[in-house]
Amino acid sequence: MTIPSVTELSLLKCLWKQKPLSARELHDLVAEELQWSYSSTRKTLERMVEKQMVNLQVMHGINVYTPALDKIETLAAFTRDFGKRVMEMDEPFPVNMFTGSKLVNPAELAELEQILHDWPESEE
Amino acid sequence: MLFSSFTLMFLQASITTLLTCTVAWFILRVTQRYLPSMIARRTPWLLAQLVGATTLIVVSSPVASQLSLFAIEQKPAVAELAKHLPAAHITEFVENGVNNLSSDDTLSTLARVWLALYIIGATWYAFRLYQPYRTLRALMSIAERLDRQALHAHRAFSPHRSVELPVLEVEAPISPLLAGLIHPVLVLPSHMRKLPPVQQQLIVAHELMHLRRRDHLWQHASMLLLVPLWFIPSVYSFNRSLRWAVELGCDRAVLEDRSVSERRSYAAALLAQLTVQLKAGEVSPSAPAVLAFGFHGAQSVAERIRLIRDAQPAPRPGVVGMTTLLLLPALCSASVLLQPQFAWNEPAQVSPETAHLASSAGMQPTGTAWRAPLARLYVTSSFGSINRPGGKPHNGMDFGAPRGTVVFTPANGRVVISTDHYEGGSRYGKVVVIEHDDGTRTLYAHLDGRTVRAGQIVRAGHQIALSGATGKVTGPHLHFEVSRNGTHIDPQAVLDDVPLGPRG
Repeated sequence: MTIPSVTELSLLKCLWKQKPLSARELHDLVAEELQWSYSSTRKTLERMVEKQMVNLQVMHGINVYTPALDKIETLAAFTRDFGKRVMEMDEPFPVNMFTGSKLVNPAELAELEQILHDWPESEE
Repeated sequence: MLFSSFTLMFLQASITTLLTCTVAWFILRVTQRYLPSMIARRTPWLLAQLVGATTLIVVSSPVASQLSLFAIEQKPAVAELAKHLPAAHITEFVENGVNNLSSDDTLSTLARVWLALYIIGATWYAFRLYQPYRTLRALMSIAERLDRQALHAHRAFSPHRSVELPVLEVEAPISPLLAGLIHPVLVLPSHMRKLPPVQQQLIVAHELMHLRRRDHLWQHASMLLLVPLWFIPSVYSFNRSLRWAVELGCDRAVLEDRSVSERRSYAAALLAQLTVQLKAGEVSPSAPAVLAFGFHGAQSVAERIRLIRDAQPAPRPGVVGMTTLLLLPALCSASVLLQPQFAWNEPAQVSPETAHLASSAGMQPTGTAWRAPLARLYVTSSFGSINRPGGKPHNGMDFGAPRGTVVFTPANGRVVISTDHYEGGSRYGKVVVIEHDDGTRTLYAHLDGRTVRAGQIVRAGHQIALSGATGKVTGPHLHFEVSRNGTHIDPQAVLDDVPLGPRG
């Protein structure tokens, strides 16, 4: 599955909320976020149709778009990619993560659960 | 030649920095053994990186040679020998000199190759560090910003009346995170809502504590310092230790004065989060299981959970800790001060002109602090002379020299002027002016060509120009002026042993 780019995700996000939408309607929704021209929105949509990320239909004489990618699947793929990048990288990731930038395997997780299980009783 | 001296200095600086950082690494590791609480301290690790960066900058800059305890001594070896040896031996010596030159060439080639490699490495590394920002931007784009109402409804924020930074929620099994340098953003995964409210609140408290402690600034600083120091292995270790210290320090700050059960909730939240991330990793068919778990993953997490459990109060930095912190800047100063001065033999020292110098042994300025600006001095007009066109007292000295004779710097300094239009006119022709370390300025006029730019640092014996006959002249010669505090002085005061020419 191709992972959409940032701009493609912005457009998809709009289509997941509301569909179908015309290019103009989509542009009005993303213009503020992406800070670009209507023709850029059109071109991106054209490429997304080619990549089969969105479907193009004609409704009442105008082109309207519906998402071809499923929201959950796309986000899952994106997250995997994100997680892979963050966790496999030995380089620092410029964020403060609650878990730190380390992952554990099931055996290690079991060990950690054991520590939690053996937690000293509350003095209260 | 100047370029080659910079590359050599840079090579030296790189080696020094590598050694300094390695020593710093040993110091910190030994200290950590005696002072386990250092694992949750940010300062030593960032300081170690700063020490590395400072060493690299200071040693590769020309300032280093002045700071070094082993100040550079220009050895007019050829000239010294010339005094004592017959001409045949001198030729032999000069030939050996030429052989030495080829080994110098190997070193300077090596230095150039290193500089090129360094630049490529730093660029590549900077590019790699930029990648996460793109990933992060993509993450932000799929996240939804929580408005005031949504925040109010979110149970994690119930203890907070208002939150001072934007909060995003994303339907992805990521760890809660604080991103951004100037405008930090809190990103929370939507699955967090399934956790017990106490755990949610502790997670948010942890992230907000990062913000309060300015951890994001520390982390970015440490990350940026990796770029110039990319070739030093221990620096990566400093960075990892800093990242870990940031998390542990934050845990400690959040859990201060919290009950045992709250500590357990905190650990449970951490574990729940890790479980979610582990599951997300399992879904991925492409994720290489071993790689994803990084080096000493669980061991550190276990260590962190034990620290959460054991509730040790933050110890005051003791004598050992303070000593370590002081040791690091001391190490930096030592590496700069004890810089060995490998007298980078510039090819000029054994150039044909120098060979000539050797054969005319009586003519060079041995025993002076300054070298002569030309290999062979032939004075055609001395300071103060009025026997010249115009009849005004001479501001400097003229040395007769054929067009194209190499002009050297007499002492270390910085090029302040290198122009074809000195003082707005063409009277002086092409001119180079150098300001020396003691504030004395020397001027070289009527040059045929200039080989230095204004602002360049030059060392004694560097070629700076070719003498010629530009400007208002009657024949090719070098006009040499020396001035101190704006007044011209007799160049003979700084160059003794100048033979007086027939028209002196």
